[in-house]
Amino acid sequence: MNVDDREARLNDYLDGVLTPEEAATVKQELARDADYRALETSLRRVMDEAAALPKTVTPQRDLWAGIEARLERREPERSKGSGRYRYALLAASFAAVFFAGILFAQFQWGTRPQDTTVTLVEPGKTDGSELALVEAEYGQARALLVQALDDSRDQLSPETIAVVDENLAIIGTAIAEIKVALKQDPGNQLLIRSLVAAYDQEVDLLQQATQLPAQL
Amino acid sequence: MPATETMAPDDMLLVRRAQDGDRRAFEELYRLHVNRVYGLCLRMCGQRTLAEDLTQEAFIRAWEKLGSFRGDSAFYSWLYRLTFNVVLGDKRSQARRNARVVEREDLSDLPHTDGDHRRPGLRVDLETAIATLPPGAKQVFILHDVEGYKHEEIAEMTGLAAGTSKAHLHRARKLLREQLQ
Repeated sequence: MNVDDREARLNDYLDGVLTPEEAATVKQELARDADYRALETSLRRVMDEAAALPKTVTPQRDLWAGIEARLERREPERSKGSGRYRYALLAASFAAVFFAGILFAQFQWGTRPQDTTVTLVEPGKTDGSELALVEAEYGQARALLVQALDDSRDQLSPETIAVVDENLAIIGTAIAEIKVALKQDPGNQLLIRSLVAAYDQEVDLLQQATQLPAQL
Repeated sequence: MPATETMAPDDMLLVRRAQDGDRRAFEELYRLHVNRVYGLCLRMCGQRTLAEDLTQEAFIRAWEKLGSFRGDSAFYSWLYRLTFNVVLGDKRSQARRNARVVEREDLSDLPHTDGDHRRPGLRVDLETAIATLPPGAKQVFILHDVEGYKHEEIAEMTGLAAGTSKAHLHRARKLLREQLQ
């Protein structure tokens, strides 16, 4: 048994985890080896002093005020504002589902051959055209979801927020570019469908982002 | 307080009220346990202001997770484990523990116990020595020799194997013994 093994065995002896036979062997060794006894004394001193160290320490300032302030800031997420938050999420979800339904109908309608001639075009018009309806619903759904997302931002990690914002920016850029192209070519069905698809993507992303805090 | 201790009746009532959202009950739990939580944080990280931050974070985390506490163990054991994880997970605390920085002014918060006239200053010296231990050895030494946890409990708390916990403890004692000789 080398020096380290002997010290480990002595540690186990002092911790009382040896079998009676093993402990008896250590006792015999202690009885005949003065250096081993000195090591035992030294280890016991460390253990006794450690056990006697105070377990409680009073902070120099009251920490409760800081804790309470942080709990207050988080409270809207937990209880006080949770009703409002859930309502906003619910409203946003309804709006998103309604918007998705319109998109679905639009898509179904848009894919039928006879519909290719219908006045889906002229995106600048708001006088009952299908695109105007889509855009109106999109605007409502988006506003609710953006509000819900803003309410829940402090529950999401900065990394998550960054990813969401980056993707929203990408979709926003795409929407802006498609609208510019549509001004040049108002009747282009491909552009219209691309615009509707971009709206759909944005609403979908916002909806997923607003549901993240509940999954954490 | 090792994890095997049962929950005090007062704690149980306060925990139930706090679980129902009673902030005042949670404040009472804070008042009952803050000194011990702060003591662990200070001993683990070795810096007063960081220990204060970690203590606050531990109680905020406790409030958020209180719903998951089922009373299978003492509330303090649950809180203590949570605090331990907060300390281990804090990047600033990690940096300090890795750097093994110790400031005597901060450690002077740790009180002397009464009646030790044989070796004046020894306890602060031991605190200083503990603060300079390697991270693994320090955490196991504090939990085992200062707080009284068993290796199996430490293994559960830290994710270390019980044998590794024992090896850390032996190393810590050896380093402390050498420093204090």
